[in-house]
Amino acid sequence: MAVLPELGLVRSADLDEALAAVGYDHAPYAGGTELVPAMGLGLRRPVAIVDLKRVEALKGIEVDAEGGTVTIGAAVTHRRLSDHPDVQEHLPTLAAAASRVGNARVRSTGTVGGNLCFAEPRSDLGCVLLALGATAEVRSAGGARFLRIDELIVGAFETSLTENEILVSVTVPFEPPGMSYWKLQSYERPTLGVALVVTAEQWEVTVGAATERPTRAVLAAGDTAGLADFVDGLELSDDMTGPPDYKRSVLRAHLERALGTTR
Amino acid sequence: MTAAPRSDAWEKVTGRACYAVDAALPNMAHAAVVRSERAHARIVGIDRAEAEAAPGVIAVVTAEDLGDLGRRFGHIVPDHAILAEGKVRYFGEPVTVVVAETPHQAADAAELVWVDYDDLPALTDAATALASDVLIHEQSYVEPGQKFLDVAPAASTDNVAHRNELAWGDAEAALAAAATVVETTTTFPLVYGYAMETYNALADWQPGSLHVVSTAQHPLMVRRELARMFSLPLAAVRVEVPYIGGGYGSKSYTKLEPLAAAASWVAGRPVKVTTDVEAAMYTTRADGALVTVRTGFDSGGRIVARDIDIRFDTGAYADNSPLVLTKSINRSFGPYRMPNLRVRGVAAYTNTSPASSYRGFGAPQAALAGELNMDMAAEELGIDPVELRRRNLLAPGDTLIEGKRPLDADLVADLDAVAAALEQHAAEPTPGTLRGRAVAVTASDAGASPISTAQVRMHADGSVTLLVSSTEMGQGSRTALAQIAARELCVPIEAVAVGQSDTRFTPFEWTTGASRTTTVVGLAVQAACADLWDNLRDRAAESAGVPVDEVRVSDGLIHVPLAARGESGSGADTVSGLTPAEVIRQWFGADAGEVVGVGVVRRDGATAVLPPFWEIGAVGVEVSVDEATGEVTVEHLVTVGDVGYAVNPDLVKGQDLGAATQGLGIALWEEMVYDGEQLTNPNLVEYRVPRLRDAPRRVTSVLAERGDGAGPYGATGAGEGALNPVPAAVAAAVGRAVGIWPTELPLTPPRVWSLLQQAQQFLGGG
Repeated sequence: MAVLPELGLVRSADLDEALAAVGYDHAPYAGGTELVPAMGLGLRRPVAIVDLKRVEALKGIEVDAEGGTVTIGAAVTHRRLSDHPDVQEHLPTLAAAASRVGNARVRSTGTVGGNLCFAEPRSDLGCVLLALGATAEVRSAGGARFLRIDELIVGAFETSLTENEILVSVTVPFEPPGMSYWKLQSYERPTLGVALVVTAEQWEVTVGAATERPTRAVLAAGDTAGLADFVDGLELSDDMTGPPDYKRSVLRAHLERALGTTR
Repeated sequence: MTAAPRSDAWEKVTGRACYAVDAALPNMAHAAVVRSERAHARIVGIDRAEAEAAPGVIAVVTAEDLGDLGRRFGHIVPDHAILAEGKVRYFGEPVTVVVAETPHQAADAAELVWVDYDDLPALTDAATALASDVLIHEQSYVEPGQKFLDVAPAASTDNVAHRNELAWGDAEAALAAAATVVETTTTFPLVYGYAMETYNALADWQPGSLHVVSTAQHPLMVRRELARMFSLPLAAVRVEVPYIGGGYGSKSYTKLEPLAAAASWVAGRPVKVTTDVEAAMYTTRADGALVTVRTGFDSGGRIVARDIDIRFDTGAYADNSPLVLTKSINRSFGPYRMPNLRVRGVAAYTNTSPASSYRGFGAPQAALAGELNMDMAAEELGIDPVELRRRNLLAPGDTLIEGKRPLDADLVADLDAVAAALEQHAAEPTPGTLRGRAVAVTASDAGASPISTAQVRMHADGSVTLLVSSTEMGQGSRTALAQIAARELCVPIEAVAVGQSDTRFTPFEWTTGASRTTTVVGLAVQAACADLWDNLRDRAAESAGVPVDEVRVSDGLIHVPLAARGESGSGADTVSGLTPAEVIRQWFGADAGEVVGVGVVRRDGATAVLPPFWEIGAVGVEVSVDEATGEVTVEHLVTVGDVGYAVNPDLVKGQDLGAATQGLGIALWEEMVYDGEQLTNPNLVEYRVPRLRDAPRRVTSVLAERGDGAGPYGATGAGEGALNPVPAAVAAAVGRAVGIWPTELPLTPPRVWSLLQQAQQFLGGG
């Protein structure tokens, strides 16, 4: 449907107003890059949307040098995330991934929070943030909850948020040495994303896009058998970007290249 | 000729250019189309009471409201229901139109129309449809003797939209006696002619007249169908076509216009119908094709025969597919010496989105098998694929098809130019990748019916308004035609204005398609300019009171004997030049007036023999294939535009690059995927068109200007040519890189990966 149904708009000035407004048929709205197409297709039919773009509390990027973390507001756009000097300094892999999300229009309007809360599997940020060990702050009028990314994203298009909650921010530890993110993106969305943190002792492998939600394994360095079990055990999606066999093959090839192992 | 900037550049880059979607009329209402949610079903009932009661609703229109209007359209087979009547034949078919005051109200009310269906078996592919006893069309719509161009439509109702064949010699016997026979079967996907502007139409019916503004490539064809539908004289139907945001054949003939016009007739208001990408994909697509080519060669690698089978998946309605099939047959065997030939083609009705014209018009479908077959043969014969083609290509002046225009192009020279450019930049594969190169050549009998009229109106200051009904859909025709007029009339291009087509004011034009405009309309413009000069001469002679044969035209001036003008001179033979503006002002006796020239092209003179030209495609590609991901990168694309003469070289190169890029889309990405009754990817996120990052790493665009065309200054057409051989060239290049010949497009990463797996098994097992 080319024409969106008529719907209400609630413009919240601050977080409390927004928290009071969101609900079952009042959908939080920031960039609209996921919500608006979903409404166009009739998949979401809110009575009103609650605009979060003017809520300052959701727009910060703050560094805690002592704690070694960066806290990123949920309404920060991909473009701001990728261009921010603090993010580039402390979270270079995240900044690079954000700079390649979707297309220029999506990066200019789409937000970190929208990306995580829509929980589209074929996405980059969830995978990178899970690999980084980020913590999400979720709020309702009643208080705050702190969740790991794999506690926030519980399935394809499925989060543990209740309808009265808003994702406020993610707090991300500074990037560890040995981190990389690689993706195969033949179509508009990624086919496969792989975040690695490789040290002399340990291989941390996080796989996204081809899985229902980002999936992480921590292995001793050199544990090729464990790695093979992890890769073989992944349930990979079958869609237009390719069958599971294809995705597993591409994943294996990338891991062999990146970890210096051979078959 | 010369580089001239596009006359529409400013309007377009500043967003001021008007398209059909921008059109508005006073008191205009908006439509929302309720589309079928079944691929094949009887309509048991339509409950529209709720929709009719919804806010702002003016009318809810179904087939039963169409009174004595013509219920069906289709310029070859009038099989296309304006609104589904009795049954639906594809998912997405218009069933009901809701007309309301605003687009929102129309869209909201459309959700309140309840259609009750009784399912019929859905025949969603050609093989199933041809084998089935279930009929998609239970009746024949064809009347005896009915014909469009050379195409007599099929009267059969066995799920065959059209059947045709072409043969000479004895292909079967020649194949039996051939030293080598090579067989190739390929599947060409269902593709959507993606254009930035979708289909849009605004219609205003009033007693005795109909006014339509739409995205029609062929306004005069649409006028004819609307006049029939409403039993109106042609003059009472006005079809306006402003700029079109891309056509590629997908907007040829009649599409949304009957729907908008019928809605206006019922609602008594001007009604606007627009489409989103999903609705556009369910409006028209290209014919999918399964093509088998068997070629026999003698011991010297010369073709002795070809036997070709073409099966189209034409969708629920015939539209232009019978003609596309006929052209596909003509274009299937290649511009090669062909002692024996048999081509059989069938276009099957299926319960899918209706297919019609698409850039290349049957050539890309057929060339995929035909040209890939040449590469497979080259491998089997141990001959270089360029050399194999060189041995078989026709020479200039040779006959491709008896009775048609002899070849007006030098294909061997074109092919050599392609091969040389590919060779020059050939590179070794980087680690983890494989490389392959391939060339392909096609020749199309341009379906450019030589029926065109043009009018030039010269004003009192010598500037010119050019009237044509050729539609500007991005190809730059207004610029190129202005250039021709400027050159003929010796005025700067800025002095020539070209407007939109409007059947009330602009003169007759057959179509805007088949890469015809520069050649056919260009000739009409030239003729109109010649007529204008004649008329200026007449006026000058009349003003001077001398016989017209004493008036001479040269270098843009009209020379009248001085004596006759009553001026003293040094001798009787001295003449002086008048500008056309002076002639006009003198004749009218004021700084006013205009003189008009009219030009006509018909099947006569330069365009007596059809086709008016052969449209050539000569391309080469070098690809690299990522062994891990199956991703294909086009490292080098070479196009040779054999256009006789380039009126505007930049525009020709733009056509070549655009056409080739569309071909790359088909080769690598584009495919409408039916999963059961409906498309799984009716959107641009999952229907993947080429993006900037997919552009070839290097492009070599060569223009071959040998002045051998029938058009102005020796020009022929450009626009389809560079698409036609591209899918075949990419398939062959990928096949060479991977070691297995592909049989199916698009070559998406998973499909190429699967070829790589097969190649590995083949090597491992061998």
